[in-house]
Amino acid sequence: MDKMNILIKYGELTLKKKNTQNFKNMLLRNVRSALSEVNCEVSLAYSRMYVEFESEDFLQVQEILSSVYGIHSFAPYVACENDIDVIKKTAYECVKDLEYETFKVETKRKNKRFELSSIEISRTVGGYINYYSNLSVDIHSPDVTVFLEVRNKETLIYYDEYKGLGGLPVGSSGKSLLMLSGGIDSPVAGHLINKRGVRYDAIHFTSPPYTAKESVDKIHDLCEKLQVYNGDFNLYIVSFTKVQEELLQMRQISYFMTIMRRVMYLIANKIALDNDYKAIINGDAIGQVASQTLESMAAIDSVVDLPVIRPLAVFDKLEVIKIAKKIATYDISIRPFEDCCTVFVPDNPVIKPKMTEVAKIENHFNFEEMIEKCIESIEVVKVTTENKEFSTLL
Amino acid sequence: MRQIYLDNAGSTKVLSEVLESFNQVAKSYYANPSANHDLGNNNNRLYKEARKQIASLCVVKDEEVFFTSGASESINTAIKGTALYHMKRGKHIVTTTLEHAATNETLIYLQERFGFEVTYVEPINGEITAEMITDVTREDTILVTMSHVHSETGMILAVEDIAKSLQIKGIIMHVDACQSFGKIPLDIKNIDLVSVSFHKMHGIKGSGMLIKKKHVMIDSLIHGGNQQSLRSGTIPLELVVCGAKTLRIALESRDVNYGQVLDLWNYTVDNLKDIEGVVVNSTLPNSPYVLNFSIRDINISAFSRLMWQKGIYIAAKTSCASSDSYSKSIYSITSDMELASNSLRISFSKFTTIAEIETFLEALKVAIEMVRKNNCG
Repeated sequence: MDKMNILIKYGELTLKKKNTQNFKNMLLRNVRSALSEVNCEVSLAYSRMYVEFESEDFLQVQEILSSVYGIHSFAPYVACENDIDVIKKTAYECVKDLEYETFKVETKRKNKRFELSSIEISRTVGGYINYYSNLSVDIHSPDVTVFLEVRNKETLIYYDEYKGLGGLPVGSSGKSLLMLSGGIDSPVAGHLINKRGVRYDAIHFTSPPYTAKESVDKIHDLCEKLQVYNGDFNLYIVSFTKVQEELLQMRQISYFMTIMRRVMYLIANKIALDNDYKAIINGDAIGQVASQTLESMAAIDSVVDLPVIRPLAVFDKLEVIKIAKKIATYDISIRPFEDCCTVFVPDNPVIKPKMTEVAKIENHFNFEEMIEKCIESIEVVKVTTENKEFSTLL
Repeated sequence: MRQIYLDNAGSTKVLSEVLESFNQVAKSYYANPSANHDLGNNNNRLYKEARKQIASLCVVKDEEVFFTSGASESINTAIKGTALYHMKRGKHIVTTTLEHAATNETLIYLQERFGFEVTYVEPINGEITAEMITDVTREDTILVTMSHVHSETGMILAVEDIAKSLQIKGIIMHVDACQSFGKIPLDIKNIDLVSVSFHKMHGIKGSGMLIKKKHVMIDSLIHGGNQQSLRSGTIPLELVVCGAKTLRIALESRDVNYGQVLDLWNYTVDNLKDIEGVVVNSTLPNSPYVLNFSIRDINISAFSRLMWQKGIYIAAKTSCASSDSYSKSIYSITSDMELASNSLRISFSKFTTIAEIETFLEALKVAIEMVRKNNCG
């Protein structure tokens, strides 16, 4: 079976002077775990990462690497010895059958003892390819660029570069808690926070028997899609019916939504503090619905001790949908099952809640007890690609 | 008497690992996976896990895998489903002369009942190229359906190239991969519909699948509870789980098995060639799992019966075909009526040994002599 090699370039990582090594190690771990089901070898050398695998797995590897944050780009390459004759012949072999018309050669000469300068190498190899193949040179706007990297031990040749996701390796900026409702927005919020290296565990509120079992299935399916980017994580499922039933007793029912959300965040806050999460993430977009006005946000933020980050704050719905489709959560999110926020909706929720009013209403309830009970009954599910339960059957 | 089973293209021995899963699922996961209670939900997770495993092995999306009762159902669904959905666009279908009865009979049905036109492409010099297919496609062609590996000879058809050339034309491509899936590599990236049977790769009979790409619209043949959108009917969880396991094992050991079986194929061909009157019909590129040859100047049914008596199971023509007196496929390859009437197929599996082949070859020589001497028939 033929082996194939890919080199991975990191983007922003190289800017982080002192921490570079930590970032790289985090990325290495993430790449290895993403590729855990592929028979391959991942290694780190100099400022690059390398993956060696069976060539028939290329599509799978390509797809996986395209979903790992912290990768700027990656390219399949061929290595040959540091001898200009070998280099030019190998480069020619690589590109001779390509269906392009023009090309150029770009050389990085990291091995400063190599007898030719980078310009001379480019010229020699370019001349050879130009002479023997159907490709002609165009240094300004070539159809394909052949990259040569002359290193101490060998020269790498590649021409096909795939764009990575960019961003920072997931986990390098710590861990947070994602409020996952099952709608279109919250999965996208999770995906976006991944981009800056923040990993998350997710929390979902459910109201059985008012909410259908399918609405929890929906969450499991969403988590499976999010796992691709976030890596393995925990999902907390909170049974919220009791709290909602109690809150429904309130007289100023227009405040129901505000207060219910405050209780949710009190619970999230407690879980976050207990597990050392550094922030709470949600899918709020300013002004989208009554509970997402600036006033409502303020009402929420005042019950938590951690930053509440809203990656979608300034996004239009269509922009969010576009990302949701890209990460394959959209089709799951639009399944028509009620979640805990939609089963009990008063007719006229307050849009600009007043804190004095909130405080007055909340005096009637014993939140501590409610929260304690909710937390006791939490179900924790591990979201992972391995499914040990069924593995012997399959 | 020891049996030597050389009809693995007909069906194969079920793996004991697969049977273990069957028993376990039947015993412990009997609730209907579509039921709304906890047991059903749990079984539904198992179903989805099995489907996901298959999808990732085939490099397709989970929703593109549909479980069926086997290859014939998959092929019927693919062909009739496409024909019924797209008949307003055109009523022309292209196929080859090397197809299994499931394809041929389905096409005849469409011709007789719905007025479809079918063009049959014949191999030239043992191959059917993309050009030969695109040459006969027309404005009103809606479907090209063909097998990846010919079930009688093992001939490999260039379905990957053909699929690619059809993409620009917007013609749907269905591949009957029953004889190849899990045995020889097949890139289904550009193929719209793929029919697969599990019992040809050491799985359980009555189980197969149809891969239908998301963008391809076809009619459903079995309506009902919508358990799998395209195919209604209670999900047979035992068979689904076994299918996933069968495919995983087949693909994991595909290359090793291929090498092993190729050695058998070469050894058999080398030895058959030395026997007087034996003509090998299979030519390269060929699946090493199937080997077709004819014996001149012999009563072939008497010969096969003699072999069966000795416990050597080979197929005279394909076992699924009706009782035509000669093989049309072999005729279309050899243009020789005697070869087409006297063809035999042996087919290997990963369990076939070289010792079995030696016994087979000896028995073959003896049987040929005996039949010729007695001039039976």
